Amino acid sequence: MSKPIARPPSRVARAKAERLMWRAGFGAVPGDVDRLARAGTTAAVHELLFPRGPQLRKGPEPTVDGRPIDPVNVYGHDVLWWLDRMVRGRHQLVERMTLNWHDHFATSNDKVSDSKLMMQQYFTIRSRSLGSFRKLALAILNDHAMQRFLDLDNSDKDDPNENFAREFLELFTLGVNNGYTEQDIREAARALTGFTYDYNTKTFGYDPDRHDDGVKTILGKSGRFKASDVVNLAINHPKHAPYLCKKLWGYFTPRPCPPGTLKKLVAAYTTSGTQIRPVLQMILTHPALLADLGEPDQVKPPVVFVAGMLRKTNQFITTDSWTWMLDNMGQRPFSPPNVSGWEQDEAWLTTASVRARYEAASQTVRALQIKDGTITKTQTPAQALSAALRMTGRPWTSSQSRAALSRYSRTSVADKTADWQQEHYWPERLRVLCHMLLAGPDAQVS
Amino acid sequence: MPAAHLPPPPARMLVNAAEFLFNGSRKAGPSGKWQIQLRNNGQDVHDLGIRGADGRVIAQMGVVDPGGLGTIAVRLTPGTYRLFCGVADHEALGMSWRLIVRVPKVRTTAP
Repeated sequence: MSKPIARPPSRVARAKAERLMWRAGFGAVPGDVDRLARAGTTAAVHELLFPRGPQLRKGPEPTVDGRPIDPVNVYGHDVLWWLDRMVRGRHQLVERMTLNWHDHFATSNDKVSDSKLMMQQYFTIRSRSLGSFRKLALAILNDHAMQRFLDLDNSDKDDPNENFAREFLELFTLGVNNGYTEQDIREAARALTGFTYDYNTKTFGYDPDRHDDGVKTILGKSGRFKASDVVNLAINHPKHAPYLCKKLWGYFTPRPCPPGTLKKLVAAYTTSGTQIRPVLQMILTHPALLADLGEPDQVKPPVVFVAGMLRKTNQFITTDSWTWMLDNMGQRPFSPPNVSGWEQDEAWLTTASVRARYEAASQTVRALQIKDGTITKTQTPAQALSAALRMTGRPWTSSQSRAALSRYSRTSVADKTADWQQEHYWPERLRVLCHMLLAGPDAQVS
Repeated sequence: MPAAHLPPPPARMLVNAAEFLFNGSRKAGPSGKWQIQLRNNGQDVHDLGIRGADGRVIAQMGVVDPGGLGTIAVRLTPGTYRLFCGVADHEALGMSWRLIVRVPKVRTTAP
């Protein structure tokens, strides 16, 4: 018996699936939008939250000039290494949350100066990205890249360094001026002493003799606290859960979190013992996430924009151009601008960064290899637009954009009748249509 | 071109520089062609020179501005080398890295 042909999903169902894949991942690969649209939002979210199977889909390993990348020994290849994991990653929410946590626990290789440590941090975060926040925070405390970045290594009882203590309370767990004092930071810094790093042998350790084992008072509690106690005291503080849940919400939608929803997120977070997954489940199925499908309001972060473009056009990492292009767009993974991470949403769009986004789309269109002389004059405007949509993974387009692209498709070759013009302008029409679908206004948002 | 048809790549290494530390991505590698990069993460200009065991400087990159990247291509024979910053007294302040170059392992079986 022949397999019944599945009905195409509705335009709304497709738009929901596409929005979800952009917000909770790095855009859908060809075929995924239809599959998830048929499955429905609840099933799609479940698939994102509980991924199974290999971490990477089939596709070539990343290369530069035909050779495998060398992320530890060549500048910029660490960025390509991570970008590849976004592009080929099958567990999209895990990968996206790894990026979000990298923004939250921002650590820059510009100071760490060791790509191997940064890549280890990627795995530290990735393996805990949907699980217990408490376990994630404890892992970050012991992460060597973080210890180097915030001077936790070699913080001694005679001269405690306050950097980690300050950022841990201010940015990682409670929020700026939200329930702690300068005295809490000083006391937490004492509890965090004892970690060591040997510059010559590049080895990390812990020396109890360098740890301040005296009594400290942190966030209203007194005791002979050690480093892990600082993590637990901060996470047990009543201001922590609302702060973290609100921040998580902000990664998925620029709309303010309604107070009632925030209460529910906090309840889910605290009753589950600081589990991240139930909070994400509530956010990803919240009506606000899929509201106003015809007016997307979240600006795609640059790395999401690039990874998504490659996924939609079924391309892989074959050039190191992505490193400097992402730099120009304002988001270079492993190098956030400071410990508060990247500014999100409209901050991504500047004159220079939008131009860099256009260049990135040009690079992607070039790889589609639409060569002069390959399109016949019989191609109608509708066929040209249809081909462009197919080649770019059928991205969501607004009705205004659709009308503008149709108009361009009709008029751009209307007066190009000579043979030499046909050779160039017919493929050029397709190239421009692809470019506009990948980098036009609709493509900047989700 | 598939990687199998390309000439063998040089050994590669990245040195991160800041005041006043050199942090190399590797401590050893095979003799032959090397491509060494210097990323200046500091606020001062830095440089990368390579000195052999006999004290002779065999290559010098030239200064790299803060935030900049320099690359040097060099052929290294087996031995111990000192990578150093040649700017002012930066080497004495700690900006150096020891690199051991060994005879490459020869494959005796088919891949």
